[in-house]
Amino acid sequence: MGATNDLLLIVRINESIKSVVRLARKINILALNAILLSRRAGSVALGYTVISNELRLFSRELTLVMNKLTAVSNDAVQVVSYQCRYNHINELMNATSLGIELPVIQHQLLASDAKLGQMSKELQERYGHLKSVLVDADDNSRFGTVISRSLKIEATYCGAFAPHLTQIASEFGEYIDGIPPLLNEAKLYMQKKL
Amino acid sequence: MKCAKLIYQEGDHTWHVIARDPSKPDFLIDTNEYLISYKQQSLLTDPGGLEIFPSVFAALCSATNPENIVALFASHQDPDIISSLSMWLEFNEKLPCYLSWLWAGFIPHFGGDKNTFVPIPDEGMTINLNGLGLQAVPAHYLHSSGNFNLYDPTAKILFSGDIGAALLEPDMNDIFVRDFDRVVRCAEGFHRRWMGSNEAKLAWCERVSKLKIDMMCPQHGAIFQGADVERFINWFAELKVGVLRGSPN
Repeated sequence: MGATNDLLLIVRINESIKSVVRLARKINILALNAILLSRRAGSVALGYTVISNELRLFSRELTLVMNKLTAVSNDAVQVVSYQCRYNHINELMNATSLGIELPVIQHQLLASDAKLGQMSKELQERYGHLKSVLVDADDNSRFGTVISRSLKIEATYCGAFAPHLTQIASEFGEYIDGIPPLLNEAKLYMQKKL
Repeated sequence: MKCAKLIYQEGDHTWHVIARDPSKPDFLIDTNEYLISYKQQSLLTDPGGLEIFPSVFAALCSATNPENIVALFASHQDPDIISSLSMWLEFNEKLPCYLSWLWAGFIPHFGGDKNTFVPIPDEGMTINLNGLGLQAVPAHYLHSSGNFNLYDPTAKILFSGDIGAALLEPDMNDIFVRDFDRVVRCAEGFHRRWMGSNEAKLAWCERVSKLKIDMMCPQHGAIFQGADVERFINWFAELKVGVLRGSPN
């Protein structure tokens, strides 16, 4: 049942990551909106425009990190699935060998157990890699929080465009604030394995 | 690795196909798995063999949360359809598996217990997916003697199992049929040998021609769309099946 728990765990980690990626996509679109609107606002929104550009750069960086996180998570899902299948076969072999002392079967079991051990090791490496990418994503998202605050402040100076720009800033704040809890959720699941 | 591709969406009603693994060994027949989702619940058709479980599961994770899968549907008993059953039940021991009553005593050799299976009577039944009514449509002797297709009347999609299956040439990677004539050339030998009854074939053709079908999704090969669905049904109706040829000896 150990391998099955691994499968459930990696599914839940993957789901948290997918939710973060969805937020990152929304942030990307919002960044574009912010730039377009601030340019339309013109000189009253100079400060906002500068920060929108920062937001755009941030969202690009976030996208790169999210792509990496997605790839690492997908890889981990596949490795866990393979291990799960092999573990199932190994359990059947163990059940078959009960009470049978033939050296050839004992030898096969030893080889099978060794392979399972090797797969567990590879999986631990995957989890380690996933943890490190999660930490990167977390660091990255904290910078977004800083941009979010600056954006809200600058929006108030934008005259007639203030309501729209404030709305964008608030939405961005909502999305960026949504990321750390999801990353923490993934990290909590991972703590069970590391 | 296999890929999950969205082939239908209307709000929270979707169909995904999980197909085309370039790293699959040649000695394993290629298969298409279909994930039908409606209001956050999903049903997986012909989940695949034990060997490809990791690849299917990983591809599926990109399309949905596997915890949302509430049922499996097995069109018939072949190992490429359902030999991964024990793996799915390890992931979720409460998963029901819909299949022909004929195989209810045989499929447990792949896994499951007396609570796992929902036997489908020969005339078919409606399978409820969170309020979406999917219809198990009889397709007996095409090729299995206890065999069902699965029809989604809302999406107008028919999962046709082995009917429509084609052993495509290596350069034919498109999930949809683009060259009908070429695809049916790849399908002809399979259908002549595997489909055991001309009578059953004609009964199936008459049955499905009354359904509104925008997409016909087989378990091997490519998906027929639009006018190609009717073209296939007509082609199949004309084809003489139950022909023994092409034996390796």
